[in-house]
Amino acid sequence: MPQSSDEEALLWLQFKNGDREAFAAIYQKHSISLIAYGMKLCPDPDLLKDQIQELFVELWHSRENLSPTDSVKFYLLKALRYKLIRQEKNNAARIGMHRWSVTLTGIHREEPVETSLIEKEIHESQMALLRKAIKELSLRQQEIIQLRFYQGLSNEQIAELMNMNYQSVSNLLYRALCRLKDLTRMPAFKTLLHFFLFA
Amino acid sequence: MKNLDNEIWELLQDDQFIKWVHSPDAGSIAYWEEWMKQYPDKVTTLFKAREIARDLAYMEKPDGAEQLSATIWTGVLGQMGEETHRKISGKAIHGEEERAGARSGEAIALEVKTVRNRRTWYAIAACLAGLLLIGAVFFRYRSANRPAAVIGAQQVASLLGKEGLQRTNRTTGNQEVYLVDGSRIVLQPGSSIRHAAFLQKDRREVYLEGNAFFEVAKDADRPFYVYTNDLVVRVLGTSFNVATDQHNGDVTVLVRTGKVSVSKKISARQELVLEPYQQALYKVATRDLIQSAPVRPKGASAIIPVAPAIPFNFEEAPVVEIFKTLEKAYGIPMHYDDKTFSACVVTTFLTNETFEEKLKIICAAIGAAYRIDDTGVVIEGKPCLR
Repeated sequence: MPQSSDEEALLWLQFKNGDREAFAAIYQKHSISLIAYGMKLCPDPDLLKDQIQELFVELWHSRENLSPTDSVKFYLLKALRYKLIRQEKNNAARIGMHRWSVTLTGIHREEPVETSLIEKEIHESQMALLRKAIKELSLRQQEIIQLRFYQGLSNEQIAELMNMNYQSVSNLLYRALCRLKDLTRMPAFKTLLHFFLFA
Repeated sequence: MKNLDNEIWELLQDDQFIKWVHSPDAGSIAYWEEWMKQYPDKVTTLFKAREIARDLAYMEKPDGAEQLSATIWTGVLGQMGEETHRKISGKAIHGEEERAGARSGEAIALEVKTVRNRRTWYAIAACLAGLLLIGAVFFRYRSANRPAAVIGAQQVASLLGKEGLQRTNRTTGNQEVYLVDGSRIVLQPGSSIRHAAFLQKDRREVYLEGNAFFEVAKDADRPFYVYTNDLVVRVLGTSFNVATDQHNGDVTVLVRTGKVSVSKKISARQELVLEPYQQALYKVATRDLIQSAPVRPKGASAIIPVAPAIPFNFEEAPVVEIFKTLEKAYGIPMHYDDKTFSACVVTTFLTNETFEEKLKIICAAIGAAYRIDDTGVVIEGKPCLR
């Protein structure tokens, strides 16, 4: 699904040279990721919309001065984070990460590959548990879960993005996963899991 | 059963695994194929972990994102307009600064003393330069969290003497240092600054030898002065670069954001007020201070040095490590008892606060108190409970 880094680098260069189509393609590819991440940092959808819009306008206008990159998504995530945090500061608000309730949509769902009804049921109850558990995490833990699993970033990239050192990121991830592990542990669930795996 | 569970959560922490699940390439596919051959009994675990990873990803997909995306794009298209007049729309939080679209002039071939993106810093430095440009151009105030490069220790040689603090960059790369008011300075190799450690007077003063980029924290009550041998640069809150020619000692001051005034030490009468992208040149031979041709934005970004950022975000970090980071960043010696604080662990995300605010926050977290004397900062407190 993702382009190779060479293609990414090329697209970015074309955009830097003023190619509007390349710019549009970049936007298409990454806007959803940016919205997803932005929501974690900025609870107000109108404000987020403005910020992302501004970001891209700024990118377009300063395109000649931007450095080349072969990881456009990462670059954009960083730029957005930087921008959103600045925005918070300028509003004299503390950086509180606000809760954003993530709801599922039926669109674009990757159909899970399940062969039996029981497997399907097990999976759905697992998802429900996970969904509930994620909401129990601290916002920073939620942020790292998103960056890692939805955005697909490595620990090193997350460290850079969140301006933490590598060990702190590992710790944060470990605690987030431990918490999820504990929260999703239910006797009934375990039995079903056992059944699923050994049936 | 328990082991099975743990294996899954172990996999979730493996970067290699994430790559395979999220954006598999030839390398990762091959790797996990091999792994499955080696551990056939763990294959189910692997796929179970993948399922969980996918579920976690799936839950992050925002509601109504497509709609929002389309709306945003319409807005972007509307503002992409013409190239010549780069005005930012009034809605922007950063307001005032109007890009110098009307400024002409060829790209000045300045003697660029800055260290260009060192490729040894991966692409991080390159991204930083881009961000710095965006940040400096569009925002008036000093920037906040910088992505940190994962690099080893920096050595800041600093001396706390009677005249204050002297900090020299003895490394071969650029170095980021902070002042207690929150100002940030990027020192180029071999350059040094001298200043009162706690900037207590009614003005903030820094003596510079060499080349440095300054991002001055806003403090209207205390103007910021940078002195070179012959020049005085006065600022309120802004960012600018000072470069000294190694051969003839000529000094160039280039402004990125805000306004600075440059004058000769000996005579305050001739004062140049510079705005973004404008620069002044002081020629030692003739003792002339002139305003030289402004730099195009493209040229300006080449002059701003990039330095690996000091990470101020800590997750369950031993407080001793935090003290060490502060010491490195501010050059002010921290005195504390290692043993007393060895069990103290802090999670905190510090950014733009002044040095003292940072101290207050950390001390509050560990139930300690700090005091400042002429040896630096002394931290006293009780041991933390595990």
